[in-house]
Amino acid sequence: MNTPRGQPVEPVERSIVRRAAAGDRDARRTLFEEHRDAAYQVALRVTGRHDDALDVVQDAFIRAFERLGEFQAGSTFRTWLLRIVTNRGLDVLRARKVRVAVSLDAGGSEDSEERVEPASREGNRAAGAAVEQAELSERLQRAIESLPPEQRAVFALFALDELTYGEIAECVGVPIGTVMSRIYHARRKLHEVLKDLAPASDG
Amino acid sequence: MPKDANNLKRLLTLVEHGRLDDLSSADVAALEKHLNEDAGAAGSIAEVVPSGGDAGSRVRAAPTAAEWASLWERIESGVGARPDETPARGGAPPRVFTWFRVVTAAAACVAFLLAWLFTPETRPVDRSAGWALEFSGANQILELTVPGSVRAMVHYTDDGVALIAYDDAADDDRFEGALDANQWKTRLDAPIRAMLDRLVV
Repeated sequence: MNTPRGQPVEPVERSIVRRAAAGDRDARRTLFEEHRDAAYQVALRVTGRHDDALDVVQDAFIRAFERLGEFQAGSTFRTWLLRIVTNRGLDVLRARKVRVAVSLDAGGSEDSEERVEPASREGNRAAGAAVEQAELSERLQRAIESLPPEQRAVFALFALDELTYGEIAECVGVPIGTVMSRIYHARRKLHEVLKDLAPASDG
Repeated sequence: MPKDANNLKRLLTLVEHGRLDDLSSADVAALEKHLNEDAGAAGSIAEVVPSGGDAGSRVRAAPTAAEWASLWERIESGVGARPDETPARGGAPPRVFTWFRVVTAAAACVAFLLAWLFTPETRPVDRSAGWALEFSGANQILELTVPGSVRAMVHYTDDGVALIAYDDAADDDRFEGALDANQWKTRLDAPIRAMLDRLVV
């Protein structure tokens, strides 16, 4: 179900942004704590790597804080920040210049980090569940990495499950129709790549 | 015509209700065109949160508390490294290239000419020209600050390529010449950053 949302800049946020722009460290910290998770999730999905994502978040916050004076109240701080995060994430991808070739069909890629042995699943159910979750997460991330950068950026924002079409469009700087189209094609591709994870058609 | 309009309306309703999966590729293409051409249609879904971030939202990872703490420290020191956190209103920014807008037109001519002459197929330029050039198709340069001995200019071409040109005889190894957009950032991260005090893209 979709949730219609308005996006006024709340007075509280505006006040915090104003204080942060004036050099108030506590206000900056408030903004950081409020938005760091979303920033990290987007950065992680765009870059595909934890360390890169942290670097992107760091860089994005520094840039955002330095330019708070230019922040326009017509936007939200989150949208503004995520636009920086998205751009920086794409920069990292471009700089990396390596398209990670992932062969999901082969049951995993050679460069994936230590693959956890599934053997202990029987003996330790909790650990087994954790392993499965980790493997699932890993596969999902790899599938996301297989998307073209422009779809990936839109999908990363979409996957936050809280941004409107309009906000995503603002973050990536493309029209709403293009956002819709990229989401559609990204989802289709992911479903295709991960179809064996779909709720079983048979057991 | 009315049939098309009705169909678009039906497709839009599906999107509004989060039923992207019910659309075909052809539907999406038609709807994308419609949304991008009709502000009213785009407005009808602008404030809708698209549902179904399903697969992506299951990728769950989070930095540890220690990592967040460390990140915050780095952010604060990064912000703190700039002397003026709050740009003084009305005062001239000390080392930011406010002047380059004025000279950009003239400088761009020089940069273009040199780029054209010395960078066929984005090969390294002849350094004897005294200028080195960088191409970027991917970033918007918001601010550029360089040491006092360096003069730099930024110019955006009509197709969005940014040219950074500088002259600094002090260090010949800083630029190798024109680079493509993919190389740009990589190069920027190392030697060029050493030359540019501050480049915000």
